[in-house]
Amino acid sequence: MRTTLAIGISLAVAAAGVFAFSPRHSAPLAPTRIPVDNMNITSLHSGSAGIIAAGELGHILISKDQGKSWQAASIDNQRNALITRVRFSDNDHGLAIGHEGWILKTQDGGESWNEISFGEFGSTPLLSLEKQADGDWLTSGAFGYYRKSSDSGSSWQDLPPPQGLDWHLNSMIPGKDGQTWLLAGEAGTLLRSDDSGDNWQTVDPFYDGSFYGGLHLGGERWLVYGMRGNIFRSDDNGHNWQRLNFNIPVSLFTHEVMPDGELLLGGQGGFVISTRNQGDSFNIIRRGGRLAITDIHPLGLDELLLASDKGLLTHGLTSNSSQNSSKQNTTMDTHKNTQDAIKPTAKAEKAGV
Amino acid sequence: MNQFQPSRTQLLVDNIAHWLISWRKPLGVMFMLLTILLGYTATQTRFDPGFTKLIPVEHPYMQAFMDHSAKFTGTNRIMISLSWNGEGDIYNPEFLSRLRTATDEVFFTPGVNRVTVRSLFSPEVRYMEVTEFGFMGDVVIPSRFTADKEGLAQVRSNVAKSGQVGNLVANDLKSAMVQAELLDINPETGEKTDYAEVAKHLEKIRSDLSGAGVDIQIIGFAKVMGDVMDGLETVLLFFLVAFIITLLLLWHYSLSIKLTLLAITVALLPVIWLLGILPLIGYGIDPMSVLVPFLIFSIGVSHAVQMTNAWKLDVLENHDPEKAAANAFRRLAIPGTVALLANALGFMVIMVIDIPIVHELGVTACLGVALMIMTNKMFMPIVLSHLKLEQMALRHEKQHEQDNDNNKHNLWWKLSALATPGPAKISITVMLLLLALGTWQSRSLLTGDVGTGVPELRADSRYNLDNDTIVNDYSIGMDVLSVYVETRNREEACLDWEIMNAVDRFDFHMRGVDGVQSVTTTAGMAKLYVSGNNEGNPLWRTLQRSEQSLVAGSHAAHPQLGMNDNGCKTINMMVYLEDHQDATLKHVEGEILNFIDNEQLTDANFRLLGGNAGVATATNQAVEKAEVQMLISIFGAISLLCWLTFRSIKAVLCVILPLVLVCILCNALMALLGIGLKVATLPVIALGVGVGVDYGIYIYERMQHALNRGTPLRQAFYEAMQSRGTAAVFTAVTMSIGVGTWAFSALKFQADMGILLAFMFLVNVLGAIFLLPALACIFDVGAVRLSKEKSSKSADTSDTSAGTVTPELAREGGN
Repeated sequence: MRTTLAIGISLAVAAAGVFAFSPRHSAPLAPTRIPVDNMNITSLHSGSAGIIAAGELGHILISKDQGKSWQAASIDNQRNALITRVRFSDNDHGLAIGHEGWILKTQDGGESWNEISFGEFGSTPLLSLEKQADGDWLTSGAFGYYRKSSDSGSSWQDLPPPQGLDWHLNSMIPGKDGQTWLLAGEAGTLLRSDDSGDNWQTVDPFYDGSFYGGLHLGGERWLVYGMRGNIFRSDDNGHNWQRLNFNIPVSLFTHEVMPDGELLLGGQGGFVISTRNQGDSFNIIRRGGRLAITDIHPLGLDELLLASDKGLLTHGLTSNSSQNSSKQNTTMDTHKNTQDAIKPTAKAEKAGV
Repeated sequence: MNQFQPSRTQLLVDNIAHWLISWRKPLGVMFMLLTILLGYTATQTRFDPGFTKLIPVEHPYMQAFMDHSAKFTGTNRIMISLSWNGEGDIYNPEFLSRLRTATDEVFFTPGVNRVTVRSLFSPEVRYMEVTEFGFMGDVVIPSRFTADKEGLAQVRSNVAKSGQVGNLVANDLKSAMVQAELLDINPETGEKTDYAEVAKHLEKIRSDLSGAGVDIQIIGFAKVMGDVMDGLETVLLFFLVAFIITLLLLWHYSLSIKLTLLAITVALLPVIWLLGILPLIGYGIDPMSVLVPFLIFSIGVSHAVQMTNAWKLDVLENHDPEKAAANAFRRLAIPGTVALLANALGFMVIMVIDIPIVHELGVTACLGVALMIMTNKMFMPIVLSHLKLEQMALRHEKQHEQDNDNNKHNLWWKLSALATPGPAKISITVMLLLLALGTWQSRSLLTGDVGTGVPELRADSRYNLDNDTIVNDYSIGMDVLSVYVETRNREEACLDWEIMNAVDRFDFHMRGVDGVQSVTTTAGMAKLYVSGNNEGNPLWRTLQRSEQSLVAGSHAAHPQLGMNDNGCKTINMMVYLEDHQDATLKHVEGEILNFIDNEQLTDANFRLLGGNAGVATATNQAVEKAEVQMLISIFGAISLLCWLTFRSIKAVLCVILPLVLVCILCNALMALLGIGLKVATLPVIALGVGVGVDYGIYIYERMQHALNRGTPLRQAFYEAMQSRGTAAVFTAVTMSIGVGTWAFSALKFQADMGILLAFMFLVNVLGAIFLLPALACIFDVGAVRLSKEKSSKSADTSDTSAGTVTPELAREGGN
């Protein structure tokens, strides 16, 4: 009896010793993920697979839950070049363009992407991608680079630079009728086309800086925007332009027309501005953070999904009026802005460069 | 001495005792001379903060770190942040004038690399903006700046454009800082930069410039060093306190001023000798080995107590001092040496921790123990042989004995009930309960540093509070891991797409890792430069394959930015972490390895791991690896020692099981107090076991003697406690106080060590008193019949013949 007890005690102590000093494991940290809140995302688009976000190192991401979680799409040949634009012709068929002449195609709404073209024109980045009224695709890029595809993006033909320009052709702007197009680019470059981008005419220069985008407001009215808060409007179908009254010197890179017709513009300093009167006046929707907004995607009526060079963030639209009057400097940090819902973004921001 | 056949060992001891007494005069003179000489060299012992010694140098990560760290700046940066408590932000005349003065003062800090001084007033700090006409830029604060409304508005706007918010200016615009790098060699004097001097200069800036709404926070490696050295100076005070308390306890115990002074002097001797020898062998005292003198002193006191006690008992029996001294030596030479051997084992075992500072601690402590054998076992009997005990002590002694006889013996008799089955079961039940609780609690012990800030100092120290403030106010990461890319066969590796792309993808991968705050790499910076060259357009923030286009971002590869060296032979990829807790370090390290495992670069390879978090990673690994090795070694060695002494498995278990419990409880205590398992705390277990085993050995050894005579267990334990219980408790208390004073140290790791060692010393004696008899009862230990050869070995460790225990003998022995 005593012997059993003695052995039992010895074993208990020995076992306790071994257990107490065996390797200790602390609670595991979260698994590694794609840093959607801390990467350069240039383009947002909806496809049948969900919301598509693309950008840094050739990553294409899909969210099936309105931006809450993201998975990587499959890409048959990952070139690690920056993707600059994603466009869809319908829910399933779309194209992505990027640096070094990279063109990718999807036929399943964004789940999988196949390489069409890469590096054929040196390292020239493609910057803009639009579909003509007849279904052909056009893409423009740096140094006057210009290409066309007549088979839904499966093969491409090089076209001569519009007007022989070698400026960066930042953005093609198709009109609502499909025939009148604008082409906005570096150093005040602005071209006009009456045949859906096949032929271009120079618009008389009215600005020295670069244009990054624009849109057809309807009728004869067009709007282009660019460097240092410069927004111009034309009331005669793109021939003559007037500078609009917006005086914050942040470059604007993207726009989005909301379902109710409100026009949003986004750019440096985390700025998102809005106009409901075609640019007669602007409200500030959000600002702050060392980030540049690159794309805007509405999530329903009261929330925006914003792409930036520092990742994705969401922004609620319900209480934006309080933001309008603030006139502080432009580098206020995002984490002071309570309306930004993705917390890690604020964290990444704090880490800063 | 005449009841057993003296063994060869005992004969040798007798001979040495005889020799010692006959040569006592020349030996005494020699010891005195030695003490004077070493006392002189001891004055040359220097404090050697030796932070490089804290690195596990053999670890491959640390070899990579040492290969590359010197090339990259930023490791030895000081930051002086001025924060504004008044209304509004920093853009007011008072604040800016103080910031300018601070910038000038930092410029004159000894050892500072003047070209690296940065604040809003530095000409290198510029703002840049892209305009329709190209880049525009200028200094942030114009040279002819006047602090009027217009000037301040200009500065505010320039700062916003400079991108310095979060860096030189706090995110809330309520503070701004001056940064500078220190050089290892002070360019003015050509000597090693004196960090104490740097820290003093920085404190002067603080006292001169704070006030009028301005508070100043100072952080940086140099400041840590300064604060640690200040902390080291307070150690002397602790030594004094421990010394005085020990003195009082000794006097209370011996009631003889002569014996008290002798014991304390002899305990101090190995400390003086040790301090004298250290400069001779090229060692210094570092923040960790400064604790060795305490240990040596307290162990020395307990051994001196035995010797004076044994001598006194002989003198009380009317032996002359000379004979009494020889007898005392004869009795204690063997058990004392065995006990010291166990201590030395504890010190030696900690050397499995592959970190120089721990090696030095082990070497220093072993040296101290060796010296203690000389001073205690040789010098002490020589002095005793010349000593005459005071009448007061003699009289008191007899009186005291009789007074105490009843009380104490009653106490010990009551306690000995633990050696009977009923109480033994209660004791064992309590033990198992403690075991279960301790084991459960010990599982939450963490490796590495717990909490934020620098681990050397307390969480509420001025430095760590400053550190918290700066980390909160600015976007500056303090915990950085460096991964090095070593490139080959390239003029300019940063113009090689394959290499830059790998760096780029590493940057991207690490940004998605939990626990990572941010990542800074040449590739990430180059991408920013490329987009900067293209009007800040994010659509250009990328690296292209052609060398020509990589040139656009090549300004990012300027070695001064600290992310690569010339020609990008080495690229330093920096991963900033949210904290330096072990879980974070392990996770991030694992993710780095995951990434690297899939990389096959033709002309480059990755090497882990630098930065302060890299050092912490390697250190934690070394500590974890050493923990198991250390435990196996110390318990193996101690078990062997016990078995050689007792030749009985049961005896070994009776001594070792309480030790295991105490070790588990020590880990549980660490978990409870939030003390991490690290370089400073890992040795505690080995030291505690090495010293703590003595109590068990001594008590069991006495008990074994009685059992061998056929005495029943309870009586045997009673006799053991009578002769050695008081000494054991006295020793435990003395030693706990000696190390317990460290708990008040300004240095966190010293305080941790002090608390844990005091716990180990104290609880081990409780284990020996309360658990050992109960275990002996349950295990039904009995007489061990030994062959003649073996019995002599066993008798060696006894200090006296196995006769009836007389009251006079009741005090001798102990550790």
